[in-house]
Amino acid sequence: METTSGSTPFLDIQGLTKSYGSGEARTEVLRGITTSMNQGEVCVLFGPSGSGKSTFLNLLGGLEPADGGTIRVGDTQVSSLRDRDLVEYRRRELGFIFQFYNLVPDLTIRENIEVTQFLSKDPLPLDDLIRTLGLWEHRNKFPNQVSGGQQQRCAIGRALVKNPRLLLCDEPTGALDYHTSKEILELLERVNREYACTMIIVTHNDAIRHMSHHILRLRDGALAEDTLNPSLVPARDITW
Amino acid sequence: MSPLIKRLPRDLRHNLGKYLGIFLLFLFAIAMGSGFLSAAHSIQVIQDGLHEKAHVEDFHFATQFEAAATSIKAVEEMGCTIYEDFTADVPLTVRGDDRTMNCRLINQDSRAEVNQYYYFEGTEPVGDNEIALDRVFCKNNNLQVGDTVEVNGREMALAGIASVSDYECLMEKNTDMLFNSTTFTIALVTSDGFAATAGAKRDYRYDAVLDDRSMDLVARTAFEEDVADVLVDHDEVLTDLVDVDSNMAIFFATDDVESDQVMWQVLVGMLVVIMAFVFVVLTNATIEQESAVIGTLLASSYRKREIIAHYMVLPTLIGVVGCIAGNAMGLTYLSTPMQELYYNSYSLPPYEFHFSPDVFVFTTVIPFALLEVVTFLGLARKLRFTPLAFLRREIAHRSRRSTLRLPDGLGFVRRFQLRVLLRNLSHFVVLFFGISFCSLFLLFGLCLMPVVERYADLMSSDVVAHHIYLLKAPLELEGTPEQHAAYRSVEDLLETDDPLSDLGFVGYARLALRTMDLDEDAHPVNTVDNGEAKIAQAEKFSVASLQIPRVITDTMEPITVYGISEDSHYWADVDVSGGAVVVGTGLSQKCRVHVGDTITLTDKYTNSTYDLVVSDVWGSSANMNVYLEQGALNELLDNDPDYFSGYASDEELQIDQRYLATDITPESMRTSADQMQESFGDMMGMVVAFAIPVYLILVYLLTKTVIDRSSRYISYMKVFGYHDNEISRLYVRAITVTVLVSLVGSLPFVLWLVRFFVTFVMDRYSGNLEIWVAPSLLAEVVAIGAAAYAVVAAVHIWRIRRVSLSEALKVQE
Repeated sequence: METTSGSTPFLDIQGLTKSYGSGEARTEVLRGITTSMNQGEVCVLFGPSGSGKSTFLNLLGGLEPADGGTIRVGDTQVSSLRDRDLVEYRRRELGFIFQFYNLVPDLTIRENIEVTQFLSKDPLPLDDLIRTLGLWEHRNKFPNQVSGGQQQRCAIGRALVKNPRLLLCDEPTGALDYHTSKEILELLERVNREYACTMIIVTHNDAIRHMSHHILRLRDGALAEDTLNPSLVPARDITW
Repeated sequence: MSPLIKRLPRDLRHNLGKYLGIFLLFLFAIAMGSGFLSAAHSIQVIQDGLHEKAHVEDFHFATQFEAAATSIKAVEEMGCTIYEDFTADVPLTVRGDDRTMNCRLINQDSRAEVNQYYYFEGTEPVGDNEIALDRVFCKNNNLQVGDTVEVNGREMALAGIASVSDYECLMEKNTDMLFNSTTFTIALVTSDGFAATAGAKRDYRYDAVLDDRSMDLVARTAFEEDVADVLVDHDEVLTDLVDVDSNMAIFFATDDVESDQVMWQVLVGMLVVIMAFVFVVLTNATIEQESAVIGTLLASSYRKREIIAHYMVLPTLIGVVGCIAGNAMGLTYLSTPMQELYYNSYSLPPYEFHFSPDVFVFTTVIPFALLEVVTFLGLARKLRFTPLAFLRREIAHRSRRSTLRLPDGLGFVRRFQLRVLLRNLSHFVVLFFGISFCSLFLLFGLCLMPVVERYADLMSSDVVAHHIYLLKAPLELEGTPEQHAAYRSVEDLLETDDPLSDLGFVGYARLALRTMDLDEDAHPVNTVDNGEAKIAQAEKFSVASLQIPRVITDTMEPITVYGISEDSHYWADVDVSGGAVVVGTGLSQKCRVHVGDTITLTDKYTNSTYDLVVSDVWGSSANMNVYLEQGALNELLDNDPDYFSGYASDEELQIDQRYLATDITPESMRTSADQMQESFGDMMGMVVAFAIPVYLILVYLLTKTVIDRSSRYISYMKVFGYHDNEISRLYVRAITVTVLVSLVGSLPFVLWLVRFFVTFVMDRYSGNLEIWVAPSLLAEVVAIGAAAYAVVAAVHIWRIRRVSLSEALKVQE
């Protein structure tokens, strides 16, 4: 399959379905999602609560199996991987960023980033990354000693340090104020630019669509929007 | 009804491991405690009741010949009832067994009102060819009702299996150092059976029951001395007089049961302490885990007492079920092995259960109250935090150690493991103490046998001569041939009931003439001449049995005081010159007696006390003796200056049986310690058997909390791409290191505790057991602990595999 640009897409999703429960309690969360993304794209995923955004992210991350359809990331057919291979896939290809940072409270900022650096055979230089993230001064502090924004920077560093090709961000600014959110978005933009990793950002913040190459919108488990953004706006210029 | 109650089944299911652990801990501790202590209590009640219920004698005496009715009447007029209880020791053989055993025939009719008996199986003998034998003897020789045994040449049918109340412990002689339930038995027969089987053999024994049964030992001893005088005044030849409290066959088992109870109380006490540790950790873990729920409930205006009540329901229910199940298991399944500990050795009456409120409080009420109090206080203390603190999970005290900066040079894995360690330090401290107590339990169970083994070696090596002969009265070995002959004549005369008719006038006159020149005030002379060389190497000494107060318990330690010659060949290293008082190292250690101290020795039969100043300490740690110069001891005890009561000899001597109390040899000392080892053996096996499951439960519960509180982070690791074995390496290895370090690092503490506990527990036992733990035993404790932990670690690794990825994805502020 080819993308709108004509090249082989980095991420290819075909007829993805997922449901929970059985019998009358069965709920179809994803109903045949088909889409694709190029390497290095920033994709924003919108949708109201219960539309299937998190499930979509979980399936991409190999955290749970799909009921039907296929997911290919690079050369990896994610949907056909066994448990052990899924771990390798997450280890090699993915970085996760959560809304509430999910840092290990008893590790320093540096150590939290090291958690995933340890997994990579080809990690980014740790000190350089910490400086890039603006955390050098805080590297030996513990999560509860720094601000929410700094914690999210640390979480970004943790996701980035193993040099993943796909970054999955679940509401990365959901717990942050306006200014800190903008800082984080700028950082994500910079990371995308410098490290050329593909990014899927799940958010409720409609303004983020302006800094994204690709826009997806889910409604009741189906894709209601799958468009490309021809005029990117730098993160520093977007407002909401 | 609070809607929260609906959470309880789910909470139980979700935390099944934790609640199962608490339940098992209760089950094991209570089953073990109530099982043993109730059995021991019941046995003690049975034993205590025997005095009245089975009319156990207050004392008994034996005479050379049948005592005259006037003699018995004279004794009874002093204030007691005398029961004729003639016995006869005859050979017994069991079919298929070459050994000739000793059977003490008792006429069952003579036991109608004193020293009564109990039947376990079969019936009383009815015919003169029927017999009833001791239960333990029958068990040891596989004898069953209906079997035939040969007694003094007669075939007799085993009609019943019984125990006799004054033979709880099968001691052939009261001076024996060990009981013998394998080749010695009592046998109940009918009057005709007795006459037919015993033949002419008789031991003229008389059992006495005092009119005033409340008489204490000192009064009783004085009474018994008067009885002896009366009998001698009536021309009876007294051969034996034994008070009930000195009768080993009666008091040995009672003493054993009493002393063992202290040991089990200490062991159950240790378990209770371990349980308290566990409850503290589990309560804190529950609160941490339920932080968000508690915060929500508080914010929803639930009262603190409602929340406390909610979180106490499950521990309380589990505790109650554990208490009931523990008592049920203890009083049914475990009571039997506990009974068998004693019923396999002692001929006790049939077992019947006696409820002990003290045991119930100690084994059930206290652990349950501990669970309630610890849980309540833990909840109440934590509920001081605000709802927001709970919601933000900021209730866990974050100490400085968890924010320590670790050296960058340390690899990530090491630092991570250190962080796990620091984060859970308080849990690990509890784990350290928990492991220490479990190791203590294990080491206690494992070390006692080698300790007793070593004690046996020391006891044996402490016997300074090949034979230590203890005499009932001074008996000279040295004498002229005429003196030897004269005393032989005396013996012959004493052993003849009616000399004139039995020996004839000439025979009687010849014997009487030979005795005429004997000096009544001089010591008797042995009838056998042992020869100059043997006599020359034998050394006289005086000996007395006194008591000294123990340090820990308010009881008295029986000790032996030796009066030896200053230039003793056998006690060459003991310097008793110039009035010196030397005490054994064992006595010094156990009763904390040091050079320069004044010790007070008591004679329990007269209440007389003797103060001595210690000049030196000598001998092994098993040596519980006091040594004085012979003359000094005689003077102290108000004996004649030339009084003596034993011979130390490297050569075997022929000593008149009438004067010989016992012959102590290194081998007999060893055998007596072996018996001690046997009586401890089963019990220690049970201690170890309980220590291992308790260890498993404890380590599982304490380390489980570390995994539980890290489950969210473990889930993150999985999301990031960590393999299960890598996660196990980060978490389980930190726990493993802690467990191993605790196992090894606690050894000095455990050794100290073992010394303390054994000293405490053994205080009531006679003798000094010096704790000596072989390094191999410590290695065994570590190995058992590590093996038990390996099982726990395997469970943890399995649990880490089961930590859901979705845990990380739950939205949690």
